[in-house]
Amino acid sequence: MHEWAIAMSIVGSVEKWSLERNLKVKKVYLSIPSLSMLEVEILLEAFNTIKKESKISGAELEVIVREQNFKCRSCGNVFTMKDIKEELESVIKDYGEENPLHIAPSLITAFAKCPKCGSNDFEVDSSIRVEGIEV
Amino acid sequence: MNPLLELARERLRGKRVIAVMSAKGGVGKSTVASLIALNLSERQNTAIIDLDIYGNSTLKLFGISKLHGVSKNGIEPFKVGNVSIFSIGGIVGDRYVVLTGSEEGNVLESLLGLSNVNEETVIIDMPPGMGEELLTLKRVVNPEVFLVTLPSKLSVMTVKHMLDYLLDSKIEVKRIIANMCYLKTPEGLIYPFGKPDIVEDLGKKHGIRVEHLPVDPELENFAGRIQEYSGVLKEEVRKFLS
Repeated sequence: MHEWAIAMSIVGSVEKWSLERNLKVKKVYLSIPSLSMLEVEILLEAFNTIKKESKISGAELEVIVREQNFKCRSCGNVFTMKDIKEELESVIKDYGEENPLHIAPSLITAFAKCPKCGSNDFEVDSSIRVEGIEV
Repeated sequence: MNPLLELARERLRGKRVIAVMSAKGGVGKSTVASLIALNLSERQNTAIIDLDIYGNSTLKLFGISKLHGVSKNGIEPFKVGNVSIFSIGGIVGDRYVVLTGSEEGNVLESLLGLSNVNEETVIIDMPPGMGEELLTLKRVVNPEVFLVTLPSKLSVMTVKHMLDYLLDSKIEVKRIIANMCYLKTPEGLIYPFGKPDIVEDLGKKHGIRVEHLPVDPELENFAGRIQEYSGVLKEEVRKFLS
């Protein structure tokens, strides 16, 4: 449900950016980690609703979902979400839809381990970022 | 462009943000932060954001063991009287958090950006040390700082470095708080660490007022229900806030 808060942050940031440069925004490219389990449909609905009250009411949002590659800082093993499927399912089962990874995907190291060596010390690319703006 | 960072800035813009911090652990930051919030909440709604993602003592002090609700506006606070509380403990529950250094900032930005803060005064309970939390807070807001130390040489030496950083970074240090300075007994005052002259000297050197807080053994009985505490420590905190 906090997709709405994320959408609010995107509209706010891009609106500020466009006003500072006096540019009309046509399209916003948002990159999200698949780990965040953010629902693209809700993000789009929220963005399209919130933008109406802003100076970027004509902007379109395109969401790019990044597939995750994790790299263990202890043994060097590179793995994906498939390799930690059980841990991810366990988080959803224990916490439900508004689970810690949905709110802050960086928290993955508290819930999963490197499948090869068992370390929690692995790299994650978890940020939500605007990758590009078309004017 | 980082939307969550922008949202965090927007949420705290124009608010009074007080960061309670120390370079040293175990000096009573969370207790002082909670008592500041409880005192201020008698006059106005006040929020606490616990940025100590590994310790999150605030929830333990208030006896909260639930998870945060989440709405369209983001993370909804726990309400205790007029105090609204946000903590990573309300996201992960009763379990450990382990993070790589590079991801710490992302978690903190998520917490600050998604916390639905509607109060005009926000108390930030900082973890010990000068790591990512301090840098993240500075990225988001320029707070006023209440710097907590014990009146011991080791604590003051460590806190001095933090004070140097804060002053170098043009962050306003409102007070230095010498916590656990003295204990009142029928025979008079006892100073467990000796008289707090070293803290006074540090304050004088930089023109910052130093507040002396006592040890109150009664406080231990209020762990988990600090909102019910009305002892001498709360009274002393009230004095320097007015």
